[in-house]
Amino acid sequence: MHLTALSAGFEAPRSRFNGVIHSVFDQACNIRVDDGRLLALLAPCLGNVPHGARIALPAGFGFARHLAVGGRVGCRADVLRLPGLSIDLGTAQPWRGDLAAAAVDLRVPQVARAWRTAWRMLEQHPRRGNTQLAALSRTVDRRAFRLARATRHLRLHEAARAIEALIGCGPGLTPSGDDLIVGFLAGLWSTAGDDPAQRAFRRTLCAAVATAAGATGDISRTYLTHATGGRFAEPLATLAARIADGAPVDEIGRASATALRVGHSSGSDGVLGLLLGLAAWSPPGGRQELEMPADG
Amino acid sequence: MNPLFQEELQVVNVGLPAFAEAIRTAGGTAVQVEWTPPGQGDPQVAHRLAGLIRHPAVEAANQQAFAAYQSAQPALEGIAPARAAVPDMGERTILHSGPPIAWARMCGPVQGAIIGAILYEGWAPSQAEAIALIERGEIDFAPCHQHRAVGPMAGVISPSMPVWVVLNREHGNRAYCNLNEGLGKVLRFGANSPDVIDRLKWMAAVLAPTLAKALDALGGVELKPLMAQALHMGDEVHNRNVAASGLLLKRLVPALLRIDAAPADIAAVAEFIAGNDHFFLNLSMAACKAMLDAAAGVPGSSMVTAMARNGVDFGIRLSGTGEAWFTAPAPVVDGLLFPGYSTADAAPDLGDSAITETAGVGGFAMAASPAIVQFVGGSPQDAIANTEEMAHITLGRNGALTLPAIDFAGTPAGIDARKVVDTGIAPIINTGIAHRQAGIGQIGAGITRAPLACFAQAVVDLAGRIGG
Amino acid sequence: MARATRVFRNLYRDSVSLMQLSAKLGALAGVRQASAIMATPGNLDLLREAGLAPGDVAAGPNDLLVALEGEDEDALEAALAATETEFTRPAARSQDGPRRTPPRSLEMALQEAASANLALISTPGDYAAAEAMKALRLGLNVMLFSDNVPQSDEIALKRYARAHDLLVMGPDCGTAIIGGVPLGFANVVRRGEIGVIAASGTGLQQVTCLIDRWGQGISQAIGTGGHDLSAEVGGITMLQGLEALVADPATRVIVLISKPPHPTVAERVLSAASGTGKPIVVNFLGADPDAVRRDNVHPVRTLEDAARLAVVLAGGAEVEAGAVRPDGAPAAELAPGQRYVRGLYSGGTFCYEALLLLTDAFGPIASNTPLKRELMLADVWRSQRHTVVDLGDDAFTRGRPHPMIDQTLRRERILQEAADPEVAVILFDVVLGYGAHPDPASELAVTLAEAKAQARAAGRGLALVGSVCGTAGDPQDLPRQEAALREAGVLLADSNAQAVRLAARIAAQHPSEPGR
Repeated sequence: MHLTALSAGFEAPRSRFNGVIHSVFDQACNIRVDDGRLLALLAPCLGNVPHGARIALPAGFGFARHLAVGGRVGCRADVLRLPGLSIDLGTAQPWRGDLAAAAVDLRVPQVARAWRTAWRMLEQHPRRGNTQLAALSRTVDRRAFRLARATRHLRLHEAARAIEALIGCGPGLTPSGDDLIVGFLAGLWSTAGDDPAQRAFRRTLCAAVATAAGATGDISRTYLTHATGGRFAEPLATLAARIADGAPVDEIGRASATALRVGHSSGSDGVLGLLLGLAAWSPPGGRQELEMPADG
Repeated sequence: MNPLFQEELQVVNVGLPAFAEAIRTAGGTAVQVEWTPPGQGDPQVAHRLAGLIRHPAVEAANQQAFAAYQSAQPALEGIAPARAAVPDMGERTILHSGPPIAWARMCGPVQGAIIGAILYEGWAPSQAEAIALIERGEIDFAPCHQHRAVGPMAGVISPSMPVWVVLNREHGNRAYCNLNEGLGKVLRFGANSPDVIDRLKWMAAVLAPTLAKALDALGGVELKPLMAQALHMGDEVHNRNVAASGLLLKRLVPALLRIDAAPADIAAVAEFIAGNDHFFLNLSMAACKAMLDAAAGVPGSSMVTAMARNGVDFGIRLSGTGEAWFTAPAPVVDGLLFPGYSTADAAPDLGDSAITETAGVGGFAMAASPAIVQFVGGSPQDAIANTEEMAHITLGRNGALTLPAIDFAGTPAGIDARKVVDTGIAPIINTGIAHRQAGIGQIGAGITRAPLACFAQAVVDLAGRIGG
Repeated sequence: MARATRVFRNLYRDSVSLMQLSAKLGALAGVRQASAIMATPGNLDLLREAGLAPGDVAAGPNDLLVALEGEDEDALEAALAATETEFTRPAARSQDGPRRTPPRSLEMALQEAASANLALISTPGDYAAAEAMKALRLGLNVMLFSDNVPQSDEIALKRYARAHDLLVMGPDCGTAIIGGVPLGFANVVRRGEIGVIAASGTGLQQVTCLIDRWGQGISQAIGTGGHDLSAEVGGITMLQGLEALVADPATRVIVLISKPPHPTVAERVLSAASGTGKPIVVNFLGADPDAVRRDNVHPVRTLEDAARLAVVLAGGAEVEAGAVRPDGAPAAELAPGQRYVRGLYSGGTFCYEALLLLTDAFGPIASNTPLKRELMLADVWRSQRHTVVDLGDDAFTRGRPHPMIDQTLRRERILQEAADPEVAVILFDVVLGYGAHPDPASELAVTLAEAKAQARAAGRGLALVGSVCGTAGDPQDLPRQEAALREAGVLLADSNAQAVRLAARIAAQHPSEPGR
């Protein structure tokens, strides 16, 4: 079967490489390129990621039905060939997932309102699994709030410790802690502005994340690595951009819902991270969102 | 920097097989291509083809054409006389199947059917006078395809014959096909005796208006879901239409019973449809035509939008080459002949029904219909193999037309003329076999292949257009 | 209270599936708590803190960990077994089934071998350029074995390849060794640090075989085809190959082989070679060494010298020059009047090298492929005075197999030359490797013995001088081939250049013509 790519992230390997099928899901498939990078092949509805291509799929298509882990793949002249399947990556529109740098200013009333709308959406989103996993999740959340507080006061050492405590922690294919860090960095990339102290803090924190990322899985590490370079998945990037615009309630609602829908808990972890990150240096209206919300 | 030296060498060997063996003996890997000269040995074809491989304009055009084909939603809209429905149908125009052809070169069944149409229209009282009319040049002939229409076998459509009107609801284009007369002595095999003409008149006077009313009551019938369902019931909707005809009748009967028409007419209509296992074929063809016309006219596209035969020539058209036909002698069909007939009796391949293969059904969906391979003594495994072989020459698969036998994968669709020439794999066609003389009728059925020469010409023409 | 954990290596399930699995396991009879999570160090710590995992789980961040807590061990074991079954169910449908169509095109072959990186094309010349262009457009490097490809096609292919960072070896590229794999008519040489780029197939074989014989090995051997260094083509392949070998960390020494290129092309190649920082040995057969010499660029006269210098530059031992000496016997057997050398070659470059070296010794030499047009044999089937013929040339191969594969023609010619009372030496080459005759020496030995017997019967001697181009790793086995020829009375040299010089020395013992 021959398929074509609709769009591809700037960091997605495209023209020529060899690799192996790393993991297969119904709506996505990861290729591990021989140089170590991952290429994500995604159903269009999942949105872009920096290292992925969205593929036009026929109705009823599932990657898991066609592909098996371990199969060799090769890409020549922009055509990716997998066992029984070829995908034209040459047709993909390039997608650049850069965040609008330093655009979020929560002192602007519309922007603060947008942030609060997203926060309310997050609070209404069911985030907990069974009791055992819920306990793990609460631990992870507490560490995220610790990271946010350390960041507000530019306490690097404490923030780095929080990063280490978050990496690879929690439920999910990409563990919750990793999703929280990715979201949090998206928040910082959107707010650091011209403040040299904040920028230096972000730079050092990103370096700490890059180092710590060795302690988590390949898929998670790929997202973390891109996050340290300011590149994020489309749902998260879009939500950040909408908040920066101070977009109306319904638009924020839509963007939040899309971002929250990612994976099982990855979406809500990422959004929580993003909102904490956005608020780290300019809390909306001096409120106490950076305190741990009540359990449950 | 070229990474060749940093990688493990993996060779594709085109030519002397000993080289591949030597590579393997020395511990390397090599895949041998079973190579034959493309374009039947014309180096010019090979050259032009090479320039089209991975040509960005062709890839983009094919993507657009295939997407249009794929998204088309053909629906049966109604029935109307050809003169009213078919675009640019002149007062004395007769449409026929396949590429254009002059009267003198036409095969027996097409000539017979044209004479029958003249008698049916009342333009001449006798066969001899009908021929005289033709020879005086008073009748205009044109391929069905040139008028957005298709017809099985002789494919003859004259102005007062009723035609199915199929609307592609996605893109708004319409396609037309005559109504199936059943088996035995019929116009499409060149028969033109009074009983044939009488049946045609009954079809225009009773069958068509009655069905038109029923269709009005139904508000049309979506054809793609019906075809998809039939593929799951053992039809390939070209040579086997038993299930599809039944499904159509199931949709029509309740509507027929509700309309204002004479009960005898309704009964006759229902009996006529129930008695013809191929009744749906003409609708399948019109649906396929509507889907493929949606893909037509994309500059640069190498997607085949029509394959058709007139019993003398086999012709194809590409999306990217406009109205041009690329023709070669029509092959004689290899198949199972009814008792008493031999290959010498068979007319060369005939009819527009290869539009079904062009659209990814018929021979391309053979995996759905193991019964069909019986015609050539094959097994159900052969049926699957035929479908999978076609996947090597198509742009993709039709996700809406799935085949249970290959794990519900879509049927291979969107023939890429480049791939046909490159691989030498000719499109497979399931078809009926007509007697070479007019009026004797069907003498068998079987499987044939489209002539490669058509595709070679098409590739050269396309390359000339895009400077590839 | 019982606890159990299990690790599933490199297993990826999406988060929803993991959550569902946790829920499903938790709902099983006898299971109280269940977690299916990624086995990162962070998660293992969390589970340990919660008392759900033992201290010594051997798992990595790409593994899946299932941790259970329940009433009794049996229930947990059953739950784990169920999980295992769930995970080992095949994910994709099997690939076997009805007959598969073998690849009929390059594109179909790529679908079977997605990481293919080179197309080896040996179709008839009329189609070869088209296949090569397809291969390039599909992202493959090309070795074009076919000949009779028009120059305009060669230029178009090479320009396209250069623009897309691909390599075209050929057209008319008989041999190459890429990544240790012999391609076309190539020899099995050991791998090493010497890279070779050659416009001549037999030249490449001679140099790589001698390097192998003298204990060093080949990193890559690139054939450019015979027309690459023309003014029109401009040496695209040689320049690309040079760049690639310079960048290749496995290559320390580079050898370039060609007949003298067009001057502007030679200049381009040599100035590129000089700036690379790696030692480059250049054998432009017959060129003036001083015109070739540059910093880092070492001109040599013969293929043998090229191999010898490359071996030394790569850190190998010095090889003694001219290892074979006439022991006097063959010359002593010669009758007065036996004074000519007749070279009967299967390798074009060997023939060319023989012409160059014999010209040094005797002056102009007649040939079917002469150094100067006026030395063309009037009748290629008949030798005159000193003569060297290339039996692989079109004049002899039209409608016949190449002499490397079928020796009939050469065997006839050997007997013809042996019958000539003025002939002192029959000089020849034998080329081994994939694609060549499976046992050329045994077949040739019969004819050579017959030739010697024929001369003896006529009261003359006859010197047989040759060299075998091949390696111990070749399917024909170099030592076995050499033994067969020695047994037939052949004076064997390691290289063609040595063989030519030996032949010249033997013939020179009898002055050519009185009064000249």
